[in-house]
Amino acid sequence: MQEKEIETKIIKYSDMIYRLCVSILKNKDDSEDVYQDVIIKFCKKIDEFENEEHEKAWLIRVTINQCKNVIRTSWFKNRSELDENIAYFDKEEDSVYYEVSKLPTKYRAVIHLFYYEDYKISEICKILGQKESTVKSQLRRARHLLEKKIKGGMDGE
Amino acid sequence: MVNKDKYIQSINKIKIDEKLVGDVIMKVKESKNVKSNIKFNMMRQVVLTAAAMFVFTIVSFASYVAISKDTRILEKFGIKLEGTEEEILVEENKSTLNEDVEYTIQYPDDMIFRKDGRFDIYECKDDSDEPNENGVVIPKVYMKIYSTDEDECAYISEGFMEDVSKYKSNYSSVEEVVIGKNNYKAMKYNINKGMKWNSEVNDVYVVNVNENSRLIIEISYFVEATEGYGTVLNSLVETLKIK
Repeated sequence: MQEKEIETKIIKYSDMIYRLCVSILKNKDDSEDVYQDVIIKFCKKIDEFENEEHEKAWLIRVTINQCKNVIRTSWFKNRSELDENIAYFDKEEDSVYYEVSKLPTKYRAVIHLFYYEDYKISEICKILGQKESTVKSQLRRARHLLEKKIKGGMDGE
Repeated sequence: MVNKDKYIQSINKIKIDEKLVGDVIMKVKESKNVKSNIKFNMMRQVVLTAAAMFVFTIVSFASYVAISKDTRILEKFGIKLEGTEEEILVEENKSTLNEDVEYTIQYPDDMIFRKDGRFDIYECKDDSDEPNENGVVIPKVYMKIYSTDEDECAYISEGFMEDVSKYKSNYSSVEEVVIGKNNYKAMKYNINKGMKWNSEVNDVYVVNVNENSRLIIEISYFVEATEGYGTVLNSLVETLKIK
């Protein structure tokens, strides 16, 4: 693949990877580290993808796995407050995001893929390599926990 | 606005630093250029090796000087390792996790490497990411200590309970126990993720420090290490003191 094409793809997927990292890791520094690792891996495999859908699913899976490695080995702030350096968040305006950020890691990933990336449950299963019943259960539990904190849960106003 | 849309709107505020993207693109380009320059690679290797040897010499000398001025206070700690009564030398670590939670715990620093921070990690010094002589990467062995508030703890504990249920066929369990030097009540989650020699085992202790604060100790090892490092780390929990 040409250098220019690679550069275009990196720019195209950068925000997607970074946002997923932040959703899972909740801090800027670790998210940036994982982002770099994922991009380097991506560039090594870039000629092997069948299509864009395959490419995107691969990136998401690798990003989540890299995030899990960070969570597992560290000195990592996986349950701390959301890093204020990530973006300007207003506690009221962004209250839904704040509550999602307090959920356990595995629920945050599923919520992000379902509501933000707009994947169906069957697609999330393939990406995460999990059974459909597991993903459904995680989504259900996450919604249930959010309903305690947000009026109407994810579907409310 | 529906909550889902608010959530999406919030995430869209998150943007990666464009400078970082530029740096990564440069790195990718450079890595492609360097690969085609064999002589440059060889020269670089020679320089790096020489630099590494120089640094190693300096660090060794500094370590020698540091060790000869060792002023740590070490105590003897009785423990049953691999079925045999033994004594190991431990030192005490005092740590402040946040305004509410301060604790001390003893650990053998010749076996365990400690890293302080928002989460205190006590990691087995034998850990390696490299495969052993049989080509197998040994699972990580560590103890992680951190504090949370009541709400966060409730979320986290649900995750532990789910794991206990999920791995019930491997005799995973939850029970109320008493730990530490001052007999603190704790919920202990024992999660056995498999029956193979390298299957992960987690022992998690959740202690109510006060009305709003919880102390959580997560110990992770593998089945074959149960009577070795698993025992060591669980025994260290008995030296816990919370302020």
